[in-house]
Amino acid sequence: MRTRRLTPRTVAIAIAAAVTLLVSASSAQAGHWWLDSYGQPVHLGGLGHTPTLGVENNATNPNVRLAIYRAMLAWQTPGYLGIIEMPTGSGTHVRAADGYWGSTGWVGLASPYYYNGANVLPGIDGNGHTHHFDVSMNMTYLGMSHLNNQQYYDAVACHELGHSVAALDDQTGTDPSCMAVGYGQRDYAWETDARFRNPSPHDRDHVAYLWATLH
Amino acid sequence: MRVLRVSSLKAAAATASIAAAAAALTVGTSDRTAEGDAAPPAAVVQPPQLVRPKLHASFARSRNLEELNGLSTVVVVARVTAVADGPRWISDDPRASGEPTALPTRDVTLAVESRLRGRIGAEPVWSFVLPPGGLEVEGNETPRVGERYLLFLREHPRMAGRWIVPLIDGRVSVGAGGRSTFALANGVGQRLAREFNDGGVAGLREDVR
Repeated sequence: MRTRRLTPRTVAIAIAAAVTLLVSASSAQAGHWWLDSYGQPVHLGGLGHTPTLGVENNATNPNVRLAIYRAMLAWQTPGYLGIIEMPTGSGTHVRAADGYWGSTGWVGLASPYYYNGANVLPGIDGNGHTHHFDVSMNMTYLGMSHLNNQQYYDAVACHELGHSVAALDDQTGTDPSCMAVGYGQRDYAWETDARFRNPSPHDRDHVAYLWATLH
Repeated sequence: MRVLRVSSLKAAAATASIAAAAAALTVGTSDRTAEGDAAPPAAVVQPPQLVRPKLHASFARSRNLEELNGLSTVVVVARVTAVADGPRWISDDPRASGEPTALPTRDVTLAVESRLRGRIGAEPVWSFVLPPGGLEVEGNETPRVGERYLLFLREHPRMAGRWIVPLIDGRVSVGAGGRSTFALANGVGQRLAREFNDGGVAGLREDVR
């Protein structure tokens, strides 16, 4: 695990983020971490604090491209996390694409990849770190008549980018957020409630905590 | 509350580090025993540890039972009797132009206990698709031998003799041993499982026409 030098600013950010997170937790909202088998958040590693993450928007469907772009904007958290678009093939942190993957079950998927020497392997290292994420948007489902609309594209793109840039998850559906989409509780709330197409304030607390304290 | 686990992250990391160190020491000791004069443990270089976490995805859900019925041609209650590596993946979506990513598949052999709708053999093969790299998706894990499901199936249009579950809600765990967390969290899955538990197959026949 990397050792970082603590500066007064880092300490202040960590304390502020931790306090914010605990306040959120005490308000009975659900915890939202995507944890590995060691209980550590699955996240991009080695980026330090207040990073700027790159996203390749390789989707060919213009509506999916728009959804990914909106998700990039939605997850930017000033002071903690910047997100910029990078050219196709740049090999950056998140590589988003669409495809007709068929009846896989998932409509959106964030897959972590890990470097072992020159080999790129699916997975993470022992510290929860991944080198990059592939975000896959499955047009087989996105093309279904009841799901083929911009609101749903936005919700799914927001959800998958949330896994990728903020180590987030919410399988309870208790926090009105794009992270609650598709887990069987409030599956169609995104149609009428914009909160289910965007990160919630609670999600932003997690972003702040993650990037202020973990690396 | 899960969020409280975050406060123990450092402890978890330390535990993992200790475990890794212990493993390294074990390897070093073992080498010394076998070879007599191997390098001391401090010189043992451990390869980076690879962890294969379960993926967290978003799932397309059915809005109601009618939708699920409309996407399937066959409905059965079946038990998993075998799971094996499947052939090279081919998308069941005719709109696929080429295959965007090579996905691993598993051939899940079923023993049909009850056929509720449609025509299907006694031992059909469910072609189960894994994500890139073969990682598991939480809530839609590879079925295991002995598990029992109510399945809404459709024949794979491009792989003769194989069947697919068109939506995750079409995989409902029934009886003991099955898994389909998110399908059961959905209203449709809950209703079907409850009706099966209350009345067996007879309780479902009206629903799956």
